[in-house]
Amino acid sequence: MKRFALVFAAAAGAAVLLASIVVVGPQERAVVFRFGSPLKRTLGPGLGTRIPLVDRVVRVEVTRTFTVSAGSADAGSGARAASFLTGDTNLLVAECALQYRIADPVRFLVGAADVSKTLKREGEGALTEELGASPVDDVLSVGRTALLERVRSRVQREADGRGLGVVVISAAWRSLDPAPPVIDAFQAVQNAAADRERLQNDARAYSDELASKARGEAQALIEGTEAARVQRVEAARGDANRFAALAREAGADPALLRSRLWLETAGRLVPKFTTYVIDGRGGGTKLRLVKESAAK
Amino acid sequence: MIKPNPTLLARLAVGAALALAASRALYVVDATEQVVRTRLGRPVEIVTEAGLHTRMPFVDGVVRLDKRLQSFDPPAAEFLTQDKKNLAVETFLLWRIADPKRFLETLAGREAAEARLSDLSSSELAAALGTVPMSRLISAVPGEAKLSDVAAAVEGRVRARAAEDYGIAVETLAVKRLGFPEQNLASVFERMRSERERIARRLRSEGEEQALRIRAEAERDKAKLLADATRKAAESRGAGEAEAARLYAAAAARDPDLFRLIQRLDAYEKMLATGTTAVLPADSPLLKVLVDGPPLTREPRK
Repeated sequence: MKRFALVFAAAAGAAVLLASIVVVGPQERAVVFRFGSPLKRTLGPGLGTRIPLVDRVVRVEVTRTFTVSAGSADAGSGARAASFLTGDTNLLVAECALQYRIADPVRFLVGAADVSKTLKREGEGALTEELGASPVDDVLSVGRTALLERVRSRVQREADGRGLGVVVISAAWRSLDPAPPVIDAFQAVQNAAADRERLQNDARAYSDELASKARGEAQALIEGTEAARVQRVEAARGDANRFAALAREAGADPALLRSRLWLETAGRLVPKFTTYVIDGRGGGTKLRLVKESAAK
Repeated sequence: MIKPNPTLLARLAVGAALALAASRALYVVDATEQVVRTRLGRPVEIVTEAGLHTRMPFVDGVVRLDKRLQSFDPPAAEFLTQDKKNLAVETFLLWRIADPKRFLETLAGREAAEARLSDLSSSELAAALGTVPMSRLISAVPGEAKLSDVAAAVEGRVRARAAEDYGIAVETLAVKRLGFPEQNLASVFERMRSERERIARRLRSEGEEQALRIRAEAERDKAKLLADATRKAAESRGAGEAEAARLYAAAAARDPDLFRLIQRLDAYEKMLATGTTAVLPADSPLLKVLVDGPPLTREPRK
C-alpha cells in the first residue's frame, strides 16, 4: 500500500516535471502566455520552463521568411488574378511577392487575426495606388524596381502602424505584364523599338564605313599628288642642273656642244627607226610600210 | 473492508462543491480576446486586460470577443466618378472591436458586423467618388492622383459612424483594386491596342528618319572630305608646277637658245620610241644633220 503511494507520487512528480519543460527549436522563439497574458521574456532555442496548466506556450518561427503574394487571386476563391489600372488607364496584370519575417513574436500573435492576409491587402492597396499614379511605359521599364521599393516601404509603414510585429524584407515582381488580350500589341512596340535601334545602328555602321573610306581616298589623293609634286620638282631640278652643266660647257664652245647634242640624240634615236627616205624630186615610190624587219 | 465514513463523505462533498465554486469564480482572459461579463444576461463589466479574473459563480456569464485586428473585403462594386466614369472598386477594411458592450448590443456577431461595414463603406465610397474626377484616383501626371487621400476621407467617415453605432474601430479603409467594369473592357483593350500601334508606328518612322539623317550626314561629310582633298591636291600640283617652272625659267635665263634645243631633243627622245617608222623627205633637217653635220647657229670659234 505504502509502496503503491510512493510509486504514484513519483509518477505524478515526473509528469509535472515533464509538463514543466519546454523545448524550443533552433529556428523558434516561444511566447509564454501566463493566464492568457504574454510574458515579456520570450524563450529562445533550447530548454525552458513553464508552469503546468497555467502557462500556454506558443512557438513562432522567427528565422523563417514568409512570403505573401499581393495581386494574385485569393487562394480558394477561384478568381483569376485581377488587373490593375495604370495612371494612363492601361490594364496590367501585376503580382508582387512580399517577404516578411516575424520581428516581435508577441505582437505577431496578438496583433491581427490573420497577419498574412492583412499584409496581402496592404500590398494590394499599395500596388493599386502606385500603379495608378504612373504611366504604363514607366511602370514597364524604368519605374519597375523603384515602384517595388515604394510598395515595400508602404506595407512596412502600415504594418508598423497596425502593430503586426513583422519586418517586410523585400518585394519582388512575380509578374508585371500588360493584360493578356493586348500583350501582343505591347510586344509589337518592343519590336518596333528594336527595329528603330537596328535601323540607326545600320546607318551608323554605314556612316562609319563611308567615313573611313572617304578618309582613305582623300589621304591617297593628297599623298599621290604630293609625290607627283615632289617628282615634278625634282625632275625640273635635275633638268635645270643638267642644263646648267651644259650651259657651262657651252661657254667654252657653243657650236661644238650643239652639234654634239644633235648627233648624240640622232645616234640614239635613228637605230630604233625603220626609216624611209623619199626623194621629193622623183615620181612615186611604192613603200611597203606594213612589214616586218625590212630593209634599212 | 473499509467502511464508508459519513463524516468523511460529507467533507469530501463540501470540498468538491467548494472547488467547483472556486473554479467557476475564476476565468482567464487571453491576450487575443476581450470579455464582457454578464450578470443574468446583462453586461456588467468589460475586461480587456489579459489575465486571471473573478466573477460570481453560477450567476455571471462571460462573452468572449476577439481583440485582434480583423481584415474584411466588402464585395466589389461599381461607382460613378464626378466625370461619369464607371469604375469597379474593391476595398478592404482593417477593424477591431473597440467597445465590446456596444458591439454586443447592436450586432449579432461577425457576419452582422461585416454586413454593416460593407453597407457603410459602400455608401460613403459612392458619395465620395461622386465628387471627384477620375484623375484624382488615377493619373499619369505626377502628384495628381490622390487615391489614398480620397480613401482616407471615406475612412474617416466610416470610422466615425462605425465607432458611434457599433463600437467598431476601423483602422484602415483602402482601395485594393481599381478597374473598369467587365462590359467596358473590350473598348479599353481596343484603345490600348490602337495606342500601342500608334507608338510602334512612331518608333519605326523615327528609326527610319534617324537612319536617313545619319546616312545623309555621312554622304555630306564624305563629299566635303573629298572636295577638301581635291582642293589640296590641286594646290599641291599647282605649287609643283610653279616650282618646276621657276626652276626651268632660272635655268633658261642662262642661255635661252641652248635651253630650247635641249628641250626639243629631250622631247624627241620621249616621243620617238623603238620601232618608229620614220618617213623622211630627202630634205629633212634630220637627214641634213646626218649628211652635213649639225646646223651651226654660231660660227665655231677657232
